[in-house]
Amino acid sequence: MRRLIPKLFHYKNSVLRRTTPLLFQPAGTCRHLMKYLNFIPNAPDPSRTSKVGPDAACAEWILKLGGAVRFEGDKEWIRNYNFLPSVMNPDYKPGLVLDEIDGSGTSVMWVGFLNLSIVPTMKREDKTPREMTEEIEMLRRLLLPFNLECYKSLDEKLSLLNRAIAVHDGNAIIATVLFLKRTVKASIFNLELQKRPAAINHYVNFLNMRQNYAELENVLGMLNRHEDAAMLKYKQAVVINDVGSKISALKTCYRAHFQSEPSLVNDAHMVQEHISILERQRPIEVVFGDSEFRSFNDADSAAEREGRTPMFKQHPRAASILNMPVITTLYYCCYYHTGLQELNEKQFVWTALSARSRLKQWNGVEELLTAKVRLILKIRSRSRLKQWNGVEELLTAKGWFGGTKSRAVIGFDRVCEVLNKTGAPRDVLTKYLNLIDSSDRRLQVAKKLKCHNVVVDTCVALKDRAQIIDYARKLPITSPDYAYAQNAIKSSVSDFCKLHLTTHTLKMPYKESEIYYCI
Amino acid sequence: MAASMTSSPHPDFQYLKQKFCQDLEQHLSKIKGKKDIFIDHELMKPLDRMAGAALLKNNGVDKIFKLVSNQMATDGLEQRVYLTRPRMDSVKVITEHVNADKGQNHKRKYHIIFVPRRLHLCEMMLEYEGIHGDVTISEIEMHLIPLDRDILSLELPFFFRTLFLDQDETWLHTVARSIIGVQSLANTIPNVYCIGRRARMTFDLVNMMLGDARPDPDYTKSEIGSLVIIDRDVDYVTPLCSQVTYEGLLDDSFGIKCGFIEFGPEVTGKDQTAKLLLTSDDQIFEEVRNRHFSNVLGYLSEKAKSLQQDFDKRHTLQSVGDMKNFVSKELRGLKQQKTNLAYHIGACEQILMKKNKDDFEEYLQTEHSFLEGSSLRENITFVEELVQKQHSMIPTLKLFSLLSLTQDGVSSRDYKSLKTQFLHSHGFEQMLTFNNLNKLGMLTEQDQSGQISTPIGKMPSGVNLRRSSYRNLCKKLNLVPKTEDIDLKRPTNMAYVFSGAYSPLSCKLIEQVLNKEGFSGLEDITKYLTGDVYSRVEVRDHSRPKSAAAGPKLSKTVMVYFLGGCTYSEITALRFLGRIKGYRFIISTTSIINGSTLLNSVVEKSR
Repeated sequence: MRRLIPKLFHYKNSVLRRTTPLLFQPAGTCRHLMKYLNFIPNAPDPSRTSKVGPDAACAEWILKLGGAVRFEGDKEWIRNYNFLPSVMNPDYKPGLVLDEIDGSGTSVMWVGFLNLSIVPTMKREDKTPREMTEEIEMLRRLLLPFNLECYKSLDEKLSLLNRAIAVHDGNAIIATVLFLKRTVKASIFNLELQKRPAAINHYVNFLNMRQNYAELENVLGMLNRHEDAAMLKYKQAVVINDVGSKISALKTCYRAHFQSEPSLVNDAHMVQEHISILERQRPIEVVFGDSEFRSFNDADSAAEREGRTPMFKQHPRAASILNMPVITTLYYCCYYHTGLQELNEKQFVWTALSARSRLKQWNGVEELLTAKVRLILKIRSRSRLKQWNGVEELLTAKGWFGGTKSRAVIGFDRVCEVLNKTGAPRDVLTKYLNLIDSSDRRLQVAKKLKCHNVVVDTCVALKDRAQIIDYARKLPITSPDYAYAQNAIKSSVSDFCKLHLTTHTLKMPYKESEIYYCI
Repeated sequence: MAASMTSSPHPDFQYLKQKFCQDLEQHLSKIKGKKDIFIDHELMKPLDRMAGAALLKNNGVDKIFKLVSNQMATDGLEQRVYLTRPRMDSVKVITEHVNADKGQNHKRKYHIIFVPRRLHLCEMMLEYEGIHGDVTISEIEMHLIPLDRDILSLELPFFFRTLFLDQDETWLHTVARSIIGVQSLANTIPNVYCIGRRARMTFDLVNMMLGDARPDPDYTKSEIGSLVIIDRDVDYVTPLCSQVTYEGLLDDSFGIKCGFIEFGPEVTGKDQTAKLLLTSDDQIFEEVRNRHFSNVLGYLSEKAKSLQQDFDKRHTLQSVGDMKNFVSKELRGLKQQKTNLAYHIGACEQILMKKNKDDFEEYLQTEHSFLEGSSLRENITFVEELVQKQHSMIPTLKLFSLLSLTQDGVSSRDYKSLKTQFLHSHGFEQMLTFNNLNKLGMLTEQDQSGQISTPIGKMPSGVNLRRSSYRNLCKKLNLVPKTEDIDLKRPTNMAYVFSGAYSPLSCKLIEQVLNKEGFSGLEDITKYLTGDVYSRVEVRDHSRPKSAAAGPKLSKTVMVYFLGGCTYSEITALRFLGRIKGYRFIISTTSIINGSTLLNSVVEKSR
């Protein structure tokens, strides 16, 4: 009888040999994705074998797969894994010998295979290993979709889950988690889930993917992941299309998740601001049919549609103002509304009410931003509308003693950059470039903006002749800038060098060495 | 199966291609008769590299469609094949197709082929939508795609987000399978180094898949000596730096997808766009790809001159025989080179123009001083200005993240003010993006107390709270070279890939690990890393004087596997390392990324 045990192992090994190379078979001929779980209990555990001896390890293995064993000398069949007390015991002494194995209904690679009693009580004399292998091979071909339904006890389910987590296969993890969810009551499921971070992650992702937000919220709440829950709610709120519902969703979200969460203080502010910007944008852009604001029928979208205002005709809107960032909103207001009031006050008839409310709206928006950003926006919008006087007004401050003074909180270098981006002409740029205090910086900006006259002037002021010469060489000879530069060189030579230079050399295209020589 | 090792410096990965083609043919031929095929848009380019349309046509495919969302597909043949990644959204589109047909009582045969494997969730979805019985499901393995002689990629652009942000381990399986695939070609790799938590998981998974039943591997046959698996979260700094090598700049400016680059009319000078395959077969590209950009145009103009000379040879041809020879042998190659050269020059011009327009100089300057850790205040002001100007979002966010990473977190005051201004500029919805970046550790707020503020219970558990400390690593690994003048033309320092301002952290780590053959002696470096490290060394390098000269010889071929993507700059840096240290690097990655694609994958697109 003892001699037959190796045979059993032979059988076992033959299964395993078939299992392992499966991984290398071409895809499609086997189901290695779910086979993993299959593979888990099927996998041999050499550490176990060495610890408890081959017989006991084999018994464990077959029991895990749902079979039964009888040890030599025993009369009872052992069908439950937990009834292998000596094997489970860490101080187990080897010496048990297997007598018989019952493989009926086991999940040896055919987990859940109907109720067919595929392998009858496996008397060792019944089948040779070779026959067994063939049978398994055949069964595999018949194989039905893998399922986990044969695992009934909680321990089995959990050890399945643990194994899935241990091998880091997300596919197996989520399959077992969902199986657990389906087959045990919520309290057990939640309890076990909480113990296993990997399982949580996969479950959360799954819910996210299926957009099962109600359940997801529950799970996050259960795990005390308030921050994630808040973000989830916020995310759901911002994708709402209708402004009215969006605002109320944001308000609910704020009250439920952000208000009371100390770690989210800053984000809570942001949500509040988000609500307030939407509330300001809404009356500006009221869509017909929004009953609450029907009275504002001069709102911009309507005005644009009807073509009533020249402003929208001349400068059609790129997009609706709704859901635009704060800065864009303010820019919009500066562009369309302030501009209108200043330019076409008479042509454009505002009703007193809407004009006031509008003004209030964007004034409110302004408060959210720093003075610097406000200034940039105003300059940008005025410049786009080519209101140079307006730009000047923005950059003029009353002096202490009644006079006026040019001033810009952002520095004139950035004023120039903004102006350049919005297509301001050379003379405007020149004016503001000259207001840059540091001459080095002025030179740098002027070069970048290609304001050649300022470059030349600055070089003159810096008494840097070499640079003008260098710069002049890059200019096209026919351009007025070239003449300007030449002029500067000429005068600088006469001013600073007072050397004997013939006009002849000056007219020539310069070579650096010559000039140096002159100096 | 084994590659012809003696002739080529790298194991021959073309087998991966052949294998996939065989599998695909087998699957398609099983479906008798004519059929239409729908291909997942994420698989289009990879399939182009692996098989090509001809293979499909030869196997009874009539029309090829791209599978996109909200697609109506009620026409076409009675047999239909869907070739798709196992993703929920593409499965959703398929179910829509099938259900639309069902609604019209149209009977059709559907075959879904999942690449590289079928997932439980996808099948569940099919079952849930009531069409599990109407389709046949199968799978084809497609793992590493040989993009070039030394680059293998899984082309899974969503990998980074799924694994690092969502902590979803599903795709580790694919990585592990691909490593097994490589080992079956080039035999078991003796030395394995894992940098990061996921790297270790992957390696465990490999071992678990191989099982214990396998015989002891014979390391004398190993064609690849070492495998370094590295997590992307170990080094976020490198991908966020602007690339300045030619290949990197091409990717940053035009986007290289699966080795293909598409040039618009502004580069080609014609009306239509041109698609170019960038591999080492393109001689001109091979010559310039690893160069610092400042060193590219010079070469190209030289090349233009020499090409002209070659063309001019035709005037000096003496006999008819010579002429025939010239036309049949050289002309074609020359013409091809000429077109490519024109594209490369056009691309260079475009890059220069774009960079000049975007104040690239200042941007780069700021980036470099972040890396160096100097003039912090001014640089923060620069970032602030970008935010206020509504400069495009991704570059701004890149710089903001870089600030956080290099300072080991942004100081609370700056963080709050910059974040608020950023939300004002780009919409409050971006709060979600900040939340994501925070979770990843790419953009964090410094805690005044110097301790980790979030209680353990609140963090998504399993997240390693230790963040890598750039400042310390920078000092220990000498990432920012001390000397100012790095020769960009004939580089002697790895830092040349970033104009001499910084050597990629990931590559420096790999250098150290290979040098030390493990992590012992590197404790004062590894303690600053985000994840844990692990090594298994079976064969020591005998070329070193100390070790005994017994046992198998260690191959100098090293495979580096980036989990979560790598940049072209890193590839270039590794090539450089290989050149000076005598390694042959094979770079495997889940996808090729750059700063923009990396950030784009974690930005919440709510609108």
